[in-house]
Amino acid sequence: MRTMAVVCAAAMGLVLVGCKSAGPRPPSESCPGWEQAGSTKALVKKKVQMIGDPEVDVREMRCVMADGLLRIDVDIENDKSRNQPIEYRFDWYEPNGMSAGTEEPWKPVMLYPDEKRTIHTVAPSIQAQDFRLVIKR
Amino acid sequence: MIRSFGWKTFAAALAVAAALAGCSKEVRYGDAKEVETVTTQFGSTDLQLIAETMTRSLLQSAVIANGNQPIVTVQEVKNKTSEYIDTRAITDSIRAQLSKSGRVRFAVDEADMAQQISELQRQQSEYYNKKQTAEIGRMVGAGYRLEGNIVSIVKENKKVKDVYYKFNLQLWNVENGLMEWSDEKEIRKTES
Repeated sequence: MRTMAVVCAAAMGLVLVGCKSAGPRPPSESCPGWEQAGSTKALVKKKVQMIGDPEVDVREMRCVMADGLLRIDVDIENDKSRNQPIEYRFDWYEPNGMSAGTEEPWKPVMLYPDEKRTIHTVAPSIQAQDFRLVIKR
Repeated sequence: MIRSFGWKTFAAALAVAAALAGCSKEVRYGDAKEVETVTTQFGSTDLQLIAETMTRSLLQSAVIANGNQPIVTVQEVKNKTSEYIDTRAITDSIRAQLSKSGRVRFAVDEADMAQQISELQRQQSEYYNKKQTAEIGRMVGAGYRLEGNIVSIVKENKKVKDVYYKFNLQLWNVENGLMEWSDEKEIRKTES
């Protein structure tokens, strides 16, 4: 009877583990570098560089490949309850890690107090398969 | 020596030297992609932002996204603002970025046509090897043309100057006259 209870508990545990792994996939899973990062937080750390300590949080990333071009959405949030001007740009890389040869201009953005905003971009060419987002104050 | 010229002469020379030193300005290279906010007039950041936005949007248009490398010619972007803007610089940037994407080919446009014809005619002279000269009558016509306009609205009072720019670009099918794609970029600059 005791053995039966242990087996049942183990089976239940396996089922629960199975349910957990089959849960909703995070949107950032489709972004390049996810396999190495393993979590949205680690991916953001890997993909986003902050210069001048902007008071901005990167909440989520979504990537999709359409017609050979990588399309990216990055959700950012103003950490402060005041207007905050920031600038951002994307750096692009080929799959082998070489720069995709496109230097983007800095884009000025005014974030309103506590505002959540989605930055959207599209890769400049089909060779640009990976990216890094740079945000500066 | 100083005594022979006098202290006044020496002091005057020092003052001139100091003034000249003050006039010399430091020269340094900067970031060409940096945000420029010297005045509210159309500037490098505006040009770069417009070119990038239009290029990325065009790359997603059905005509270009299908990968058939359409042949495009660039026509005029009309400057409807009250200031001088070299709109050719904007379309040149768009053309350069689209060319780098490898998804579009460009046919010679109206502005460069005279040079193209001149070169073709020059190659027909007796000085060239006939086997290697470009033949007349083999130029390829564009299937699509790019054209657009830029407008601005300027509002000003004693304390604030507000400038709003709107750049609109369209891709037209030359054969059937249909507009295949259009997008616009808005920019607001405020000086106070």
